Amino acid sequence: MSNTAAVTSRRPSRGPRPRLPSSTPGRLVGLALLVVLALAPVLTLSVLIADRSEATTAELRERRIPGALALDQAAAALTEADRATATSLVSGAFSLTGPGQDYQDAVKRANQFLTLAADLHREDSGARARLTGVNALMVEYTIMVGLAQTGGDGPLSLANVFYASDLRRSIVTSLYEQRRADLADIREARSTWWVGTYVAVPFGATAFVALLLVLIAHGYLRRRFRRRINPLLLLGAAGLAGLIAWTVLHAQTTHDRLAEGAGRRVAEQSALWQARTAVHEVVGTAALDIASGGIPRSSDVKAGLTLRDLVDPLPSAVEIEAVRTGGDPRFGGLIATAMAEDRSRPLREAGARALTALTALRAAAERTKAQAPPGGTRDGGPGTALLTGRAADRMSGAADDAQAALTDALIEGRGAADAALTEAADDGGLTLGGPVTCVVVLVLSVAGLLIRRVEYGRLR
Amino acid sequence: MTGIGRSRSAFGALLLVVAGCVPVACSTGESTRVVHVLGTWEDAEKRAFEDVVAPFEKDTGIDVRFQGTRDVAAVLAGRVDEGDPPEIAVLSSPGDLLHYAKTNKLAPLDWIRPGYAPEWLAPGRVNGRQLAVVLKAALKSTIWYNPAKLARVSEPIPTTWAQLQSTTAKLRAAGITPWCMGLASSTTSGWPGTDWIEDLVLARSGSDIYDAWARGELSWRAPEIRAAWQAWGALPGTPDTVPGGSIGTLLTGFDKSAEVLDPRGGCVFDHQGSFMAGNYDARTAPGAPRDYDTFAFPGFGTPSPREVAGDVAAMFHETPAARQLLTYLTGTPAQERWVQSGNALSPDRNVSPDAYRDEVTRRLGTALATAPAIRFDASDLMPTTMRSAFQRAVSAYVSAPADLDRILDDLDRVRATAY
Repeated sequence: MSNTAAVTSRRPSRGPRPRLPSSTPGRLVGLALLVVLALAPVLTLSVLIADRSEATTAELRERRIPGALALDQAAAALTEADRATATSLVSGAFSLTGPGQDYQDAVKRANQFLTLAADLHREDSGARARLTGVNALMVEYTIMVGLAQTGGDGPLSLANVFYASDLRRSIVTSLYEQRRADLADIREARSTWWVGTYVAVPFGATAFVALLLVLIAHGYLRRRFRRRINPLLLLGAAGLAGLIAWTVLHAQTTHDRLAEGAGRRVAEQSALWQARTAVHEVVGTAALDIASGGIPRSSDVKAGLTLRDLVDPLPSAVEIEAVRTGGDPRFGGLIATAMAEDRSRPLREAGARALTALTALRAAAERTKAQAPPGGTRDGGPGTALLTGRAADRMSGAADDAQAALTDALIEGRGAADAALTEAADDGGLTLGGPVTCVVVLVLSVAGLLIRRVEYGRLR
Repeated sequence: MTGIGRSRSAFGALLLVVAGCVPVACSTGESTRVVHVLGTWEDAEKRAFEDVVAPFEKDTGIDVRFQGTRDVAAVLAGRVDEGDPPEIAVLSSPGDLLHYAKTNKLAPLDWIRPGYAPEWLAPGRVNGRQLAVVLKAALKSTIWYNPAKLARVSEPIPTTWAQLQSTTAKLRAAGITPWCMGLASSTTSGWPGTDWIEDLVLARSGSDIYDAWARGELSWRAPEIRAAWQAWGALPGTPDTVPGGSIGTLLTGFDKSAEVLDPRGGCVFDHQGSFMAGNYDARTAPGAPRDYDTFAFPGFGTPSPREVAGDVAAMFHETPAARQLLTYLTGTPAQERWVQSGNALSPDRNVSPDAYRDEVTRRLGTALATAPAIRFDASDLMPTTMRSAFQRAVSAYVSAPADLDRILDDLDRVRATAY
């Protein structure tokens, strides 16, 4: 170890400019104070980054994402109820059984999802108002279906089922408008400063200033006390460098996992729920077409979803097989949107099954249309069996197969989304580790400096 | 401490302050100067409203947030029940407000002084208090038609019901479908039929009968009312008079502008209010000759008042900003801006005819302003239960015309409890 005698140096005076303390003890204390001041924002930012990213992830996982998807789920359930009503009407069973048990179950589910959505949107006054309105329209919808039942299977029943179905489209439009707003909010929430990769920049800059200060202090001690190293200061510097790396890694992981769980996976699940809605709508519309003899729907209601919204153009069997084995979809529509977000094997399998079922659905729809009588039928006439049959080559059966495949895809997607969000919510120990590291760095650095101060005093 | 020390400590403190402030700065509070408006307008009508309020928002800094739905009555009822009504609701039917007036949900608007004729303030008055005010008007006793198609049978514009029936028969004989009719309109399906019956009651039986009927003082089985139902019902009930016959009338929507303008098929006449002007205009290419025109609903030999309607605004939550907005919307500058959109006529006597966008709406606006007598849409004045039953009865009648007596009996039973 070298001599500890302090080397004094004189510099020419530059007038009234503020100066560092001229004595070595004063400089040591000043450096210690500066280290404390430099580490304070590092500690604050470290705590804030961990806390905010955890809070943002929790908000997305527990409120915003389920809230948005509940709207899609309510739309799908209500459209399923509409399909049940229309198929019951065309089958001739309507005057006896009304819309049937499937309708009752679907309406219950739609109400549950709507209640859930309203609960999850309780802090958003605009959304709350919209959903209150939707709830009122849901009640109107069930009243109109009830009114249709009082008309037996006559034209008034058909008219009331048409009116109810038009209202259902208005409800779905409102739900989708809110869903679009929710998805925009989700995008915004996962793009906030605290969960972006760029949060590491100000933190890194602040921590780098502190690190630089510790190293400057170390250099000063080396010069003043003629020692190669100050182990405490170097340990503190290493701890600080480690904290920078840890925080940057955490920020990057949170950002990536949120992009996965709250971005791609939400888009995928939303597309899959819309696809389920579209499948119900295709069957329901076909049923109303048969019942009315093909009279076009009310022109003032926005057009509903069609087979082309699901997949356009419908791929051949060879193309479906290519999709199953990992090929790029060469079609547009909701199925393609879902597959674009996720190329995993389970989703490809489910997608291929859905496409096969939709091919059968289209074929059955064409045969149904060809058989339907020009004036329409509401008593199980020609074409009805092709529409209501549950075999795989009938419309309802093919629709059920498509629904089953889409449900499997949804289950897979939800599992992956949950995993990504769980990982995003994991702070990796930073909430506790960040402050502890800062305190340790602080203790080491201050100790490294003050030990020299004590040593200097003893020598004098 | 030295200068460098001080500046570094200041830097550190600044970082702390910045770190503390960022989360606060990221959250923004909703402006307190917001007015929520719930109304029926969608698409073009909604855009027209937004255009009308744009200068108001710019001048006052008040943010007007509009929610439009055709099923406004149901949506409003839900929101009022939830204790979350909008500041202002705009309804097509003043009768819907009666319930809210009875339950003291409405703020009085006695302070409002628009430049309207007195009869335009009447629909918003309940028990002597002004609880609603008309924002924009419509002329209901109007028939839209395609002049080129009418010319094929060399008939003049009908001015009497008998002439209208004769022209209808000639068009039918010439293989041209005379009328378009569609009753579908979501929760309010049937209202186009109520307009028909109201026009027929007013033209055939006069104002006194019409007023008594609207107030619930005249039986639905009265001969004047029954005759109006039968006169209208003969149209969808006669083969080749309406596309799709009764079932087509029941299942299709009320906007028939495309069918009237269709040069090869469709129909010739469309009984609709002046609010359809925007739809007809939108289907006409810019610069192309106009293939449509209007004439007044024909009378029965004696002059009759014109039937009118209007969207009325009521205040459910009074705020200074909402008062400012209503004052602005009922003022002449806003009214002129509204009629320029082509979607509305104005009840304001000070609105210049030149403010109207085209010749058709200018003529309709002038007819509205100069009509010697007007009557507000009877079904819109009826209590909600009665109006809703009337609309449903229209659909039931088209579905089964032979059931008219039973339908009118049912309406009388509703009348007994609705008023």
